[in-house]
Amino acid sequence: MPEIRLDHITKIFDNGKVIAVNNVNLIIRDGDFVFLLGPSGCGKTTLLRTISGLIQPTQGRVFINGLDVTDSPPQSRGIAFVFQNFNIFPLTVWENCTYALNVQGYSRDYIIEKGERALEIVGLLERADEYPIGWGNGDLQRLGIARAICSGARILIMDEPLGSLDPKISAEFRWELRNIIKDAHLTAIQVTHNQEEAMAIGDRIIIMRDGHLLQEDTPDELYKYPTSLFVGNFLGGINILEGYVIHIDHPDVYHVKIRLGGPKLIINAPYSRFSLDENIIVAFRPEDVYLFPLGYDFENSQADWTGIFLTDAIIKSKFHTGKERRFIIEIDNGDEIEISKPETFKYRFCEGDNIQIGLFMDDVRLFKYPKNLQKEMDLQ
Amino acid sequence: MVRVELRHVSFIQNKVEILHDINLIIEDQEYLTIVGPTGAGKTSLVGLLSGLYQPTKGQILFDGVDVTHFPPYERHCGVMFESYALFPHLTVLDNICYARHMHESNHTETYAIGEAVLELVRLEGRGSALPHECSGGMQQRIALARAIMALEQKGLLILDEPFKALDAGLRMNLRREVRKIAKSKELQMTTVHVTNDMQEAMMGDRIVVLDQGRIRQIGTPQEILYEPVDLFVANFFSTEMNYFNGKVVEVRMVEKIGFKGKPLQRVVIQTKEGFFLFAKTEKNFEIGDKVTFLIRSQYFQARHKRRQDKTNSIVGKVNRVKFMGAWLRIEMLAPYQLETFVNGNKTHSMKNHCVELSLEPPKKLIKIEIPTTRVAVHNFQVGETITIYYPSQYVIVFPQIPQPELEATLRVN
Repeated sequence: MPEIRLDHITKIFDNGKVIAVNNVNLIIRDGDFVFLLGPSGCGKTTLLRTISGLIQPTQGRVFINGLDVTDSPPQSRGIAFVFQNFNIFPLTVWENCTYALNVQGYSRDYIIEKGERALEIVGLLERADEYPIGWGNGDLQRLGIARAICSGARILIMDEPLGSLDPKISAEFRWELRNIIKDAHLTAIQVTHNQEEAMAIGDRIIIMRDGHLLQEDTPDELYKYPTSLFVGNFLGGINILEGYVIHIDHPDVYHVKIRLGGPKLIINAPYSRFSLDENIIVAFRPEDVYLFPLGYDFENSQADWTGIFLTDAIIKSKFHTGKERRFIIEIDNGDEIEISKPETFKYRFCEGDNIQIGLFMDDVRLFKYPKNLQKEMDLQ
Repeated sequence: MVRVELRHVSFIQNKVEILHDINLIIEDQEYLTIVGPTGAGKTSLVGLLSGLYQPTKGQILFDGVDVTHFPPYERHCGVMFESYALFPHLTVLDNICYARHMHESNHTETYAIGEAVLELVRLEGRGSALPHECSGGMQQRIALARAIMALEQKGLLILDEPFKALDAGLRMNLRREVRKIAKSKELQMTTVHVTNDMQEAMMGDRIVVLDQGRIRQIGTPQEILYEPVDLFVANFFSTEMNYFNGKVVEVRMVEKIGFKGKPLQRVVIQTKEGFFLFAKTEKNFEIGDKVTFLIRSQYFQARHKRRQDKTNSIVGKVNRVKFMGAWLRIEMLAPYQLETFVNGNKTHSMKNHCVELSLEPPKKLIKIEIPTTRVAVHNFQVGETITIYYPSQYVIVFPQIPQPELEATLRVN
């Protein structure tokens, strides 16, 4: 289970015109299952190729297990690939799995031991003599992973391995994938379009944009404490309101007025350095907003609503996603907010209903007003 | 602006029956989603509607006119594909005007219409750009604009898995936007949106669930969610499903009506694990009937404390917790249930439930998902004892489904 360390990696293409990867420092720990996310063109593919040795960085060094491998060829780095389109050879399962070992001329006993272990981990040992023709995508990907494990690599790089599976199947298979990786004691890096998948099975998530590494953390921390608006929006969607600082209590407590006569909020935001009158962005998750009918009795409620901030709103529209109910609501100043509630949510609000919304200030994040707000919120 | 009718449509290709006896009416101005797994026949259905394929049997009618043997260009269908298929060498405006230029000589008029359509998809002023200069989201809207141009206000708009290759977050915004454009006053289009994603399917006025060439169910999102016709549909529209097999021990009418407007019946079952579970359903059951309860993972709620109202409560030990953004996924091993009343009698009473919990072997693994909001989450840890419960009107009740079918469909081990 080797550790991967990237030290000030920069990759420039086209004689300096395109900076694909810009000064990235990163440590991927032994045995971690790491996800690499970002909009297309963010540099994730270039970064993966740099790690695997398919391209040379313009600047910086790559270390695997403490050894500088920057100048080593790909085959000596102990890295295997799993592809979205499987790239299965028209051979039997066993031949596919042990292909690399055969080519490298290992002994028969060694190949049998490795091959059986790899097929056992993915649950295909009993089907070793079959030809994988007409197999479902899930089984083909199992074989792809078995082949990678069998090659003796200790690092697995996976490019959308579940991308060609039906959403339903992929949601089931991803847990299995995680178990396989953990059983085989591999360090794995996976690229995906599916943020939910990364949150579900990843130990850590790396988010890139425009060649920069924006944030790297556990799914929990990334989701709860994004350091930028882009990361917050990229992982799970976020509501934003534009406002400005009207008063600062202590160093960390900001009184914020939402623009166009919107409500006033008091938010504790440690480590931020906002000044008086500064324009800022108030951000919060769709699921963190609570909905109440007008005249709701907070005193006699079962839940503890102490400290909740309330304001009036109107329901503009609502729809199902199968898992949640989503409401688009409008607050006083005309700003729209998206809210998600479980299907079991007890109030049957309709379009046009006047309601109250509630928000705990600890669920609110403050961000500096970005140079280009539209670009910051653009997920492309 | 067209009403489409499929009458007994079957489609056989290479001796394989891809679609079997499809009967379907798409109402004028309806936004219909067609959803199903790979190999369900979705793409073939799109081909039949747009005229790329001819049905082996049956008729297709547009506004009452039999178009079964009409070629694609006489049907005025606009199709938007997964890969957009934009012409890379043409400007945005030329891309969307291409089809109309082919058969209309008045190019000035075509361009004027093109500009108007660009405005509808919020691309005004971008007509002279080339596709590669536009972001992915904009290319999407260009493809949509071209499809809208092609149907010339009278045909059917077909969206064939338009968001398949996009990030999850982006899909959510785009699908709402597309629906808004399709439903706008200027267009009022009849739209067929094909997808393999359950969340996307929920955007439809009605949903057609297709599986292995057959229609499993047609219904509004609510009907599909709460009144699925079979296990397949129920499972397709859920992230994770829990099932309980048991025998009905109590049936009582309640003073309420359900989603279909029929009176609700309160059904209590004793499961083979010994739990007593309650459901409210519009279906009729009698004491002694064998039934299956299906409960989606996200319908459960969880507490550390025991609840006052013990109906539908199950006590267990947290086996696994995983943070998933807006949701927290918990696997709970449930050895027994709190005392509960059936037919006025207390079923069983556990006085020292912490001791009992560690002695009793676990009988059932229950998977639940709860929102990660402050009010819902109480910092659940592995090994802790928790109580979970569910609102009884959200249970899907079927006559008992055989265990092999349950295991095959739900993929539980």
